[in-house]
Amino acid sequence: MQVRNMATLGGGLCLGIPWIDTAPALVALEASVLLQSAQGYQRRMEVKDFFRGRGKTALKTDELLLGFKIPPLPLGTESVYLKYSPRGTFEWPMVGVAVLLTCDPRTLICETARIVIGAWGPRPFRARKAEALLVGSRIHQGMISEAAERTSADFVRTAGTRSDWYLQEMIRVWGKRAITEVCARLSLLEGAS
Amino acid sequence: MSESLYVGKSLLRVDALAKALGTAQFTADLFPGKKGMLYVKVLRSPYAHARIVRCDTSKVEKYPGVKLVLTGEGVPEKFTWRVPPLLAHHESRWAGEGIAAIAADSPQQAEEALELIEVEYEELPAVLDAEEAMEPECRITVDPDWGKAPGGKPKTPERPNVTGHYKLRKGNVKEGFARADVIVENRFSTCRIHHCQLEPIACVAQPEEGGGLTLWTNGQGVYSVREEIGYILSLSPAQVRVISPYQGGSFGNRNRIFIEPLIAFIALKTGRPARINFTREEMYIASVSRLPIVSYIKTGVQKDGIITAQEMRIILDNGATYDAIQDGRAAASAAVCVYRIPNYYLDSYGVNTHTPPSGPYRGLGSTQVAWAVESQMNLLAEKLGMSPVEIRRKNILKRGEKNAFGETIESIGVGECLEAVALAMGKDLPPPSDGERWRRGKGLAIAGKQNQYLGRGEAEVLVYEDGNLEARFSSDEHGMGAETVMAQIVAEEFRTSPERIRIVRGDTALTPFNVKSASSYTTYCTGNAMRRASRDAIRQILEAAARRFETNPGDLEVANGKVFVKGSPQAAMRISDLFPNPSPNASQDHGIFKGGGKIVGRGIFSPRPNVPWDPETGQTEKMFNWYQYNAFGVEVEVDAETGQVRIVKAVGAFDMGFPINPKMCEAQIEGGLGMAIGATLLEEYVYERGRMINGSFGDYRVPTFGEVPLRRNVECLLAPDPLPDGPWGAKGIGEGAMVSIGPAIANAIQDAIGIRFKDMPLSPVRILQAIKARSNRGEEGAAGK
Repeated sequence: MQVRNMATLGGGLCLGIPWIDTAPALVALEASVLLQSAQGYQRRMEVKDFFRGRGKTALKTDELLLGFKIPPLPLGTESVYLKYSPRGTFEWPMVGVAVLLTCDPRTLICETARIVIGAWGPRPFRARKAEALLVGSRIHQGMISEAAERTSADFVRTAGTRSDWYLQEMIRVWGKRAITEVCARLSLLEGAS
Repeated sequence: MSESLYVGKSLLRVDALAKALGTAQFTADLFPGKKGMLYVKVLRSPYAHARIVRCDTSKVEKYPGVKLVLTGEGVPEKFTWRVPPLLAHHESRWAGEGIAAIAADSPQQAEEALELIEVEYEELPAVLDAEEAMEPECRITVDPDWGKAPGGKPKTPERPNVTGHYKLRKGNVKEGFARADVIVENRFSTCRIHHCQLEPIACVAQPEEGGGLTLWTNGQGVYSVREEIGYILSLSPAQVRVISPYQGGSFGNRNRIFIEPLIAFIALKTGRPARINFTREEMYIASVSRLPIVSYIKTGVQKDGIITAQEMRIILDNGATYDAIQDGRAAASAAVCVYRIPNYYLDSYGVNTHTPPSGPYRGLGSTQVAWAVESQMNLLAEKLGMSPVEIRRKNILKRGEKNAFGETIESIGVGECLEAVALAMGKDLPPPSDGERWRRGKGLAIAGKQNQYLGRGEAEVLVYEDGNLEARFSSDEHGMGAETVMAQIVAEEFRTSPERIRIVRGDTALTPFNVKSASSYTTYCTGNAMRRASRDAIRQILEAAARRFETNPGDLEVANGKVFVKGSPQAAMRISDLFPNPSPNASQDHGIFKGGGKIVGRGIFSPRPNVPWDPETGQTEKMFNWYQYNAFGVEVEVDAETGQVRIVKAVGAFDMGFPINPKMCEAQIEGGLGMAIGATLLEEYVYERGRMINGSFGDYRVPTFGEVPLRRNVECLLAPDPLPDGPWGAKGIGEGAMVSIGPAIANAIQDAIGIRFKDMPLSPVRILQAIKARSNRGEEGAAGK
């Protein structure tokens, strides 16, 4: 009988399941993995490149995942990961959204935006067009809705064949909820409507 | 009668410790690594309908470990209306039907060898929709021969896929609708789902000296399994011994024993023990599932809420097998047993399609029909501007009244259930902690579930020479607590602690006849038999004791293992002292032959037989034994942006007759709630050309504890209306436990977001689609909260 009460970040990632909860968060943090082969060679790779389709990773058969490197976050950064699955609990996410925003503390202008979707698809991906919309601006409510629309459109383009309207809709809804949550933490929405 | 000591009390289950510690034995636990055991695997058809052009097993026969390969030609051809042919003959009628079977020395070898069987299929046109299949012009027919099975009724050439048709005609519907102020007409549907009981199908067959066999199975009813194996394999009952270890749930699934005869056949043919354990995928496609039912319903009511007439057309999708639920009468009873309907016109049809077999599932169709009836009641109330409670209150049948079948109702506590739930639902929960996106709504529904006539039940109570007791019976123990209830009944009659009672259950060589545990029948039928067996044993004790006391048996009573003159327990003798003294020839010095023999009390109970109904009007004075009733109220939260629903509060009130063990009744209510949440919100077979594609717990989602409300927000209320011929007035509860929950959830969702759903499951996708469709029509705000 197997009774487990601990797991590791790396072990989860090596399953190669692209929608695993930790993947979008690590991609949003621009984390990289440190891999070591049996011969002693080491290499580093960004988490976003680690996934190679369902159940597959860049890990070679003679390699071990040693650890992660997460770059330090500048002042004025907040992030969140939100997960949605039709069954509320004990379930892989249908959609997992990680959002990380950095704003200039004085001007409240958005300097960095990373929106990462982990969903039923081959790998976690960044919604670049949505990110581009937010960078360089003072974010407001209307912009969040627009960014969420773009996130969903980005997904359809990236994932290619997926035409499931419900999945697209959930990416939009949860994208919006995640961006809103980060903006609230950065106090960007106060006084605005 | 003096106050009860053990019935009506929430005693600890007799199997609680063994199950908590994992020492209780289930079929899959038996004979691990037994020498000589053969492991059976079955190759299953990938097509909904196909001709088997060629099935070549020559490569398999040489594969290491393989001891036997069977195809449809190599197995007995007999079948019954409950057990389809063991393997397909020439034609496969559903995706999942067995084509060939392999018995090997290890499960791995059997599994690997399956891949070497070469089958050439010719795909044939399939009919997958019951409404299409039932039409006279439907050219595609499903297994037309199965009506020839013993006990099955042949299908008619006019409607070649209709397995049965029940007609109910009462009063004058035309006049009834003419009197109505409001008429509402709707179509409701439910999809195919599975029981998903914890323990998949398992059975082990062991050939015995002299030509017979012993079979261990988690199939329902040892005698029923024995009869079916005996018929199919042409064996005498004396040659088949069936044993029922603890069963890991059934919910009706194991009522149909598709695989046992095949495993028995393999054991007899090879002379070696053989076993099968189904995979979860096999459970979905090769054991029975819940009937999808479509209900058309038209109801007329007066302004004051009184129903004047109802018309219904109920269509049951039996899948590809010919099942007991042939004519839909049992399902239709859910539309008969609760309300007073003076003018009624109802037709129900069982229909064959090329889909996986349907069969009994907790409620036997009542849940699917109550889905229509109880949704309809709310829609009527809405049109009348009346509260959902009030319209129900006005139409509920009273005790002593006749229902639309023509039966006189002897026990009906549904009105009390309704009032109890309405009261409890009035209390409000604190607002949701996680934001404004959840919209709340409340809903309730009421329902009844019939109890089928399943023949007699027998029981024995043995009194051993040391005074200890043994209860023998052949019911199942698939988790509902039969062993505990039987112990309580014997304990009550003997006025002795249940710990002194040993349970011997489910073994055709040891325990007396019982068909099976089904239709919430066990407490009522076997319970009555057990009570009679106890009294028979006590009668023998009192007669023996009367000679010692030099008095009449009627002046004596038993309690705590002793006999005494009524009211004088201080001058008692031990029951063990009644046993004869040791034989003078025995070795008295050692005392090991003290006593000898045992007292055997026997009890038989059979409900009053049904009275055949008039084939044109469906009228009879007794269609079923009795009805269990319930009301359920739920409070839901709906996320209008995702369509997700969560149940945050539930109140269930039940009339199960007298509750022998109230705690176990509450457990049935709680369990029924979880099962109904899955059935209503999550579960659904997804097909591709008739082939199920989501046959795993990863893709077919059942609820977890996270999807049922927190324990503090679940209320279980008991509102018993004692049944005149039940033990202490008990009826049953297991099946009714989920009947009214589905419509209560739909009614609550309508209250939350103003949209009525008529097709199960109420999945987030379906709910969001409806919300979007409404906002596209620009109706939001008008109906929403």
